[in-house]
Amino acid sequence: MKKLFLRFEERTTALSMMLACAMMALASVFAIHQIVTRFILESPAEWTEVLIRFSLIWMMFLGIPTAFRTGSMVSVDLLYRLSGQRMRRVLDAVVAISALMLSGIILWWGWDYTNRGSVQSMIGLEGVSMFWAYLALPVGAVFSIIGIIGFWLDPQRMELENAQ
Amino acid sequence: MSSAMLFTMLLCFALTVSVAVSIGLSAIVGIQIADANMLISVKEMFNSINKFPLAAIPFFILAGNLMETGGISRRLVEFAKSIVGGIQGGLPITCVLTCMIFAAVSGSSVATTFAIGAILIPALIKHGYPRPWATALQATSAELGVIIPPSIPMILLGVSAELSIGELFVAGVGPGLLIGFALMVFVWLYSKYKGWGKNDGEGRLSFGKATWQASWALLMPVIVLGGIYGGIFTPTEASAVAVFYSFIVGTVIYREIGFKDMYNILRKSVISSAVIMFIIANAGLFAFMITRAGVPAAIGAWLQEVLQSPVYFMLGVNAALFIIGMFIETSAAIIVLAPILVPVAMHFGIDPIQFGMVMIVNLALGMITPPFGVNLFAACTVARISLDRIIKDLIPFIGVILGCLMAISYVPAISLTLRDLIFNK
Repeated sequence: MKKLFLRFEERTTALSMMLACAMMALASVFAIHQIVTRFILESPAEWTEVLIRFSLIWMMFLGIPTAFRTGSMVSVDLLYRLSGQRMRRVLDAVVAISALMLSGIILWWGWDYTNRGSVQSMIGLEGVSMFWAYLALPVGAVFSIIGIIGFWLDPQRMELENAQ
Repeated sequence: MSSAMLFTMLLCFALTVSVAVSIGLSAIVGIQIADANMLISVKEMFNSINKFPLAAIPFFILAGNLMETGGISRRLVEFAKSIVGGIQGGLPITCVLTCMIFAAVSGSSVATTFAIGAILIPALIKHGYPRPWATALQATSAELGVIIPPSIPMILLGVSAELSIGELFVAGVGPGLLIGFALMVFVWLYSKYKGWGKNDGEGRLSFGKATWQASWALLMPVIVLGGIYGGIFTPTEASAVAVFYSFIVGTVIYREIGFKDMYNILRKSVISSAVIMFIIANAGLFAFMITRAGVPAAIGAWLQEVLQSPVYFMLGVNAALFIIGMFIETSAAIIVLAPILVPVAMHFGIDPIQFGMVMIVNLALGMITPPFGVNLFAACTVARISLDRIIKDLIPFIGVILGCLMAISYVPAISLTLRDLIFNK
């Protein structure tokens, strides 16, 4: 059961990561496009700024599941380093439960907010509903919840490898 | 309400819950106590990251990772070595100088620690410098990563306190040079005193050759910072130019980035950016809740009453930030504290840009003060040494930075001269 879940979790987290990387690449391309249109064609495209913001927000929400999964979130880990094996398992559980609580809230209220957003359209990109921007909240939360359970079952702590 | 929020946050911190989740949950506790609509939580999280200037953060992170994989760190080390490596103590001076140059490419200090430390800590040890001292040196010098522009904390400061990011970047040059030169003089004198590093000059390249090898890397800060200072790009555009430039240099010119590396670079950049942006989202929600409760105004009024002159205000703020920096992560501290402190500083007649530099340098110091100092953790990981073994060697370095911090606090010209020159103030 645990193995089966971890295999499922590995797939969903990897999928979410792949999409996040695509969003990052997309945002970079939009940003370069914006500079090119401003300097070379001398007529800046208005929609690029909107798309850069939203693709980076998607990037973040699709990127945090991996951060949760691999224990890459920055934390004050003094107690963890001082603790023994047993205490560390307790701390892992505390970390997982609090992250689950926050993700649960983002999922529940984020979905509510997304539905309310479907009547708004994006400023600067009329005709596209804000639904598609807000959707990052619940989607990221679902992937995060799966990733956090994965962390709980098989904890990793890779904070420094990915810190800035 | 505020005390319940603070209690939740500190409890979560103590239990090693990640910074972002701790701050987010304490803000949720605040919403519950204030009996406000829970939709505020997601709305404010979304709004805090839905800001165009913040796009510079992931872009500078991506550019830094592209540059690092593209073989830039090694070339910069050779370049710095060819300038200062010839004298006794030349290797630690090289370490400081390389960090200064790398800082002008990267906006982060942990990235600087990994990139430069991986090359220079083993080299320092090989040349007979004690391992703990080399580690402390690397952790301290890498702090320049956030002081010399581009700088992620400065972008956050600009967004949260509504200051010009361009002006902050320009103002960072003076303090960065001051700290860099102070560190170089310190390690030079210290090496002489201890009799270390008599053969540091061995095997270095000639200046011309090293400069030629590093030229593509050295051109990046010229383009990025020159573009911002010359008013050609906004900082956000400059970050996108940096991505494009480092991509071309890494793939076409140095040819060290293959197709396979590309996914790893993106993945690493996504994780780092997502972690920081998630902290920004939660800290933004937290700041919204305490502002709603009128806490910043109350703290501001209290500070104005207790610390009656600018001199005392600077001293008090520096002491407070020094202690906060020991425990709290830099981005979160800036988002929550900058909107509280900057208006008070302006009330005392302090230029907000200069005050911003004081905040940045002080919180950067927090990255090397235990128990929570990301740079220390990174340097210790690279050097494979435990944190408690380097503390004795770290104290003089902290002393040097504290001295510079005092100078930056009380001599506005260090931060403002260049800014006034460029922005004609």
